[in-house]
Amino acid sequence: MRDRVEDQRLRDLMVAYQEGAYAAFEELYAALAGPVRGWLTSATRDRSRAEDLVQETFLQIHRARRTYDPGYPVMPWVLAIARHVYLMDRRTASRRPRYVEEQQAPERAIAPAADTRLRGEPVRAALRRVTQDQRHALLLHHLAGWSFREIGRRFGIRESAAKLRSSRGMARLRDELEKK
Amino acid sequence: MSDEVVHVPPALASAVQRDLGPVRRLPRPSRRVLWLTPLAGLTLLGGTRVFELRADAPRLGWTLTWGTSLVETTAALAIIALALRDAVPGRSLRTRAVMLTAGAVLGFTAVVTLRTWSVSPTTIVRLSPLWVGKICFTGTLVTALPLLAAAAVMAARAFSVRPWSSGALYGLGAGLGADAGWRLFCHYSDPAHVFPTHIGAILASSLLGMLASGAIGRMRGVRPRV
Repeated sequence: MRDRVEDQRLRDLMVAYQEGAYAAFEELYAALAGPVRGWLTSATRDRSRAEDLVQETFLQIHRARRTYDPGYPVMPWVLAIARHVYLMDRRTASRRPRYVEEQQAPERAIAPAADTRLRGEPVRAALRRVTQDQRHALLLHHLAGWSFREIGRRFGIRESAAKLRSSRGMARLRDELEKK
Repeated sequence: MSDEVVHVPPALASAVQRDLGPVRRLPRPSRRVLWLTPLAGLTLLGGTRVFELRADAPRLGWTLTWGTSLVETTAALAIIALALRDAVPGRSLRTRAVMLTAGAVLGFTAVVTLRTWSVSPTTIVRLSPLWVGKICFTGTLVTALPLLAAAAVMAARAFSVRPWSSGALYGLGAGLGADAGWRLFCHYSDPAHVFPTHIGAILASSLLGMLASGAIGRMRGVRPRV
């Protein structure tokens, strides 16, 4: 009975979201992020990876929201998208370079002030706590001056995903520096 | 459910808000496929308008000519509806169901071929079988293209999580729809001609659908990458 009420609530939220209500998206995120994260964590066995994929899943949900039919439950629709995101990530992972070769990076001048600051040990220590993917996006954008499009192309990801990584990395870096 | 408040991460929130507006819900596949009915009708009737009805039509009777072709066209539209359903997340068909559909199409066309051959055995005598085969194969495939392209566009408007299966299905449907027309004016019922060319073209159309669906997916960036 409770499941049916919850399912109906999710359907109503999806309809409101399709009509353009951001509040409905927030409620949907609150209700669905947990199950999606749980599924992705069990699939990837990597919490950090799963967390990235949760964000990507919700971006894809946003993109595909017109395909949802309120005549059917929300959960299978959401999990199908999550599964798709996971499979595509797994497929591209093997092709994704683990690091950027120096000789392949476009030549850009590094701002002297940024370079000096980065040599500081606290920043280096904080950077080590940021995940590798986020660190690459963050440094390439803010230090090397790459555009998100260039970063996306380098890692085989979309521009929005590169932006997401960079901003998540920056938030994490800020948190780490504030702790110190 | 936990009472903990879950906030949308800022980057995701801004990405969603940038593109947040009312969207028109995708109609159900059974309704969307009706838009293809005129094109399917044209595919069925076009050939017989340009060329003439097969010479042995009176011997075959209505059932083995128009009746069977109408069944094929209806089945083609039903298969395309399945493809459109398959392109919606959470509504994908199982691989077994896709294989079963392909098997049913092959089985049906094989039975029709053998039945037609038993009622009116006609073979290629004066012309080169290879040349006739090439015409029938290419012709069926080319005739399938408009239906295939229209179905591909409709499927691309959804969010296919398994492009290969929806592509294979709409390709199969388009191929069957084209065969419905071609079998009405191809004069030869010899299974040695029909199996590799007419039925072969249906399979080739299905393969083309798979390739098209994958290419469209890549072009539209449907393959999400993180």
